[in-house]
Amino acid sequence: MSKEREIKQDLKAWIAKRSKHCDIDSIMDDTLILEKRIITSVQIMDLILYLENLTSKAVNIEQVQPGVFSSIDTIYTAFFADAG
Amino acid sequence: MAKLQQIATKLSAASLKRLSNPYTEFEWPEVLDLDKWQFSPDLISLYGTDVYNSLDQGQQKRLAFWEAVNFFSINIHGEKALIQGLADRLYKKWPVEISGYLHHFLDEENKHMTIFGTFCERYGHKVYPDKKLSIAAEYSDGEEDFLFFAKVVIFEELVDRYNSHMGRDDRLDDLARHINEYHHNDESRHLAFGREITRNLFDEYSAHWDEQTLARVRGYLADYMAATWKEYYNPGVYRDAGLDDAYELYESALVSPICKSHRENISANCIKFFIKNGILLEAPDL
Repeated sequence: MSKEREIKQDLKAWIAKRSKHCDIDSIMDDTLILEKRIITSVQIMDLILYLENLTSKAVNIEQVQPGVFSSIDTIYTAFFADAG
Repeated sequence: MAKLQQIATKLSAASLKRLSNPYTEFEWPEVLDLDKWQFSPDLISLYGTDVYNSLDQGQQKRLAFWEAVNFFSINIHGEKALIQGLADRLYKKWPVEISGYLHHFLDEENKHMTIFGTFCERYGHKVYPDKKLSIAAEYSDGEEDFLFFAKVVIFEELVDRYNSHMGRDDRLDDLARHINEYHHNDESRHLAFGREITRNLFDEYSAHWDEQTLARVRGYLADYMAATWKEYYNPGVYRDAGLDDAYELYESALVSPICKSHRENISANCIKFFIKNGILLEAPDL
């Protein structure tokens, strides 16, 4: 499994574990996780701490662009793509 | 609404009576004595866990200091959002007595932030960053105002339990105890107002909401309470206190029965208010 695939799978597992509405198999890379209320906006704080732990970098919420948490793809691009 | 107007008038009078100057109220030592508790040990997020019990008292006091910085940071971010929301609601559609009290509410919250900010910057050299993200949403009639004040009640109820406890805790360093006592004295008025306006707004609007809206509101408030609690468990605190595996500590504290029981105990009055008024149907899973 590629590094990208592995990270995206970890993200899906994290989201599915906390979602009240779906399991891991129903989350695609482009599924709109907030719009479809798979996770709620108040769970984003928890997701940010998880991302900080995975990347070992602090997330500055004031610099986060709108839409970053829309899907697995957007999260990966914003927080992992530069690391290869 | 008549009762709310009466309460707002009384609270405005009480605020005027207690008008204070945060710039002269406190004496700020150059250096804090970290041999003293800056945060009640029994309120430390890891209190009662194996990790906490394995620390010597010096380490526990160091952790207590960073917990104080985190607690005051939570207050700053919560009150920033509160001030923005209160300012938006000045002279909107309320009777004049309510806008009158909102001015006091704003004034007092601004003063609190200067106190918390001074403590954090002077002794911790930072305010822990906010991790909450505000996402635009569409609301039913009255839902946004209701959720704003319901969130104020949740935030302030939890904070006030801590303030009330620490304001009376003789183990605490004088400055930390004084800050908590000062905050508690104002918060008791804010809570009285917050509860009344939340109840009023729910009664006024919820009758017109469909089942889907009601379920969304209830789910959101339950999630918000759980998310608010998570701010009290900050991996950054554990790192600054010199503890290893900060994120793992955060995750393990969230599932620890001792920590969960603490959250349920502190939240009990708040949850009782929401259930008694039909806003929540059951206690959220904290």
